[in-house]
Amino acid sequence: MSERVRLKRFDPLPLAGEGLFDRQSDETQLVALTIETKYQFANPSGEIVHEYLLPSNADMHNAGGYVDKLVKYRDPALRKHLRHSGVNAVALFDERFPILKSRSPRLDFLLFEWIRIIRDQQNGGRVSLFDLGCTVCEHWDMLDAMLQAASDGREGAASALSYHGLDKSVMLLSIGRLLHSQVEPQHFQLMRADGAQFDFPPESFDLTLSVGVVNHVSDPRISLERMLSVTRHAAVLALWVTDEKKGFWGMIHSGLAFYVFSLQDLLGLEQIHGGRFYYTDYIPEEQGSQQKSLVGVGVERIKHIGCYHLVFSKRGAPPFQALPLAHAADRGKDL
Amino acid sequence: VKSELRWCVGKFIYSRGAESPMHFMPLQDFTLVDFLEQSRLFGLRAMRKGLSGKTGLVDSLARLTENEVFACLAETTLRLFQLPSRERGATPRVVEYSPSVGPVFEYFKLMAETLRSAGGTDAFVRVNWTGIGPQAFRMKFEILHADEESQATYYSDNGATVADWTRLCQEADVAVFNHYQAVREIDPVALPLKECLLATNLAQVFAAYVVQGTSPSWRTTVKGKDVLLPAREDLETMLVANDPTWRFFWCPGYDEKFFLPEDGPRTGLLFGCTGRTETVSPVLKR
Repeated sequence: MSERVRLKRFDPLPLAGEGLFDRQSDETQLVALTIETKYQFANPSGEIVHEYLLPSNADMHNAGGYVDKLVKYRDPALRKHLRHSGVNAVALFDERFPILKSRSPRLDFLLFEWIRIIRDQQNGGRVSLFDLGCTVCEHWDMLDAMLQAASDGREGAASALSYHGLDKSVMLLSIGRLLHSQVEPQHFQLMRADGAQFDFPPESFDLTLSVGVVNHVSDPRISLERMLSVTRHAAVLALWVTDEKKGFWGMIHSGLAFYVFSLQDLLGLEQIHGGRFYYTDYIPEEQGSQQKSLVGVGVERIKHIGCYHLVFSKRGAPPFQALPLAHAADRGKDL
Repeated sequence: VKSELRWCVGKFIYSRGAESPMHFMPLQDFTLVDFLEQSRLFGLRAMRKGLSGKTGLVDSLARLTENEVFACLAETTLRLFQLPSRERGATPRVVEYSPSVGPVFEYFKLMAETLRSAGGTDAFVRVNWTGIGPQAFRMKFEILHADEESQATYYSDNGATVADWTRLCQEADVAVFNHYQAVREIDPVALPLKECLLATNLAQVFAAYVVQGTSPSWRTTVKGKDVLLPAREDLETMLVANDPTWRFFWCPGYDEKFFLPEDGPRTGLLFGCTGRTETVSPVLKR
């Protein structure tokens, strides 16, 4: 930081106890927004003295973050670490590779465990994976790193998976395509659609995955139902959930509507799809990596919200430690 | 006495028409560093790879490159290779200081391939591009340019000296000194502009944030980095005394809001190249 100017980081708009939208009814309302991405500088009396605008294109911001992840997943040192330490929960918490303990690799690890079992059952056949909200397909790369490490390089995502990615951003899909130009196209299929607007026959994919995307598609409840329907073995999800009785609609920083599920919303789906929700982790929103991503939600309500790492299994208990979600509904979220 | 400022960076969300924001979300570091450079890189690559249909990355090459420093650097670098004295068919070797994720490299590849597909006699099959810059970009530069015909190499500038720069230049045909990008990064500017430009007789291109006048001047960027900006007149005089073929283009006020406001000479962008080409005419306005 500068030695010429004493710079102190501040939050120009701290969260209030109650947010603007906390008292909303279930009625849909239209809110027109202007979003500016910028540096802002204020003098000690609070007067804004300088601003520097950055592009506000959400796809560009997302591309920056997800390409950054993908590059880290391709890091030869990370791959060597997994090869030496083995693909296990301990290896994911190595201090030299902080990316491994973040949400996505932890969920990829759950998929990896399942992929191995299904591969065994199918005598080494490809496992079909549907990635809802695939962005630049960085999950393919983490799974590749895990599969390569576990097989001493004999197999990877290119030989073990039949990957189907869906995203509504044509920019992110284009980057995903460019970054996987070496993968055989018939086993690496990308489609552009809203996350609630896909239509495949039931049980089309062995495994499905969605990390935080189902919450902000056009119809989250329909999206989740469809996702569970097209799943043959298991769905792995990160979902934002409230412990309030009813789910509610909010908005995220990009201006998209965002539905926070209730536990009852989720448990109700077990009846329809003949499976069971399990959870492996729960991160309260107050401790999340992207704080203040929800617009108009106050401090008090945020205390009720968190992100569950979920598995919806149609094949009994998962092949790793996990608790039934009903446990959280009955006795609290602690694992 | 140091002045004191409070600062933040992130998304300010307003109800349309309102003066005060209703919400602020701070941005994480990774989005600040290079998302813009990355989107340029992939826009150029989508064009080069002929991705059909709408890619969401770029409406047109003109829109992507217009008024952009990386494009001026790449176009000038290519022209330096198209000189009559150049040996046909050889692999161009370029060294670039502070390439970030490599948009200059990518645009160079795009233009070279366009020339090749048009049957141009100055076509190159591959390019060897050596970057030197902050360690943080090493992996990104090498991985994002892997799986390509061209060769991408990157050295960390941590502890680098003018002698290191000179050594890298000895293994190149053209040197690109991207001082503009080096100032924009969070990491310190490791290599001194003037000394590096004077240290080699290689064909050279540079883009630099400078101040008007004959004395260098300190500025602080919006990222909180202090930089001693070279003086334009002083720099031009020294370079021409060393090599009379240098040509310069001065863009006063270019991106001046990147620096915190303070009294002193005006900042701007100085673009220069050794005068072995007369065709460089960057038009940068901002």
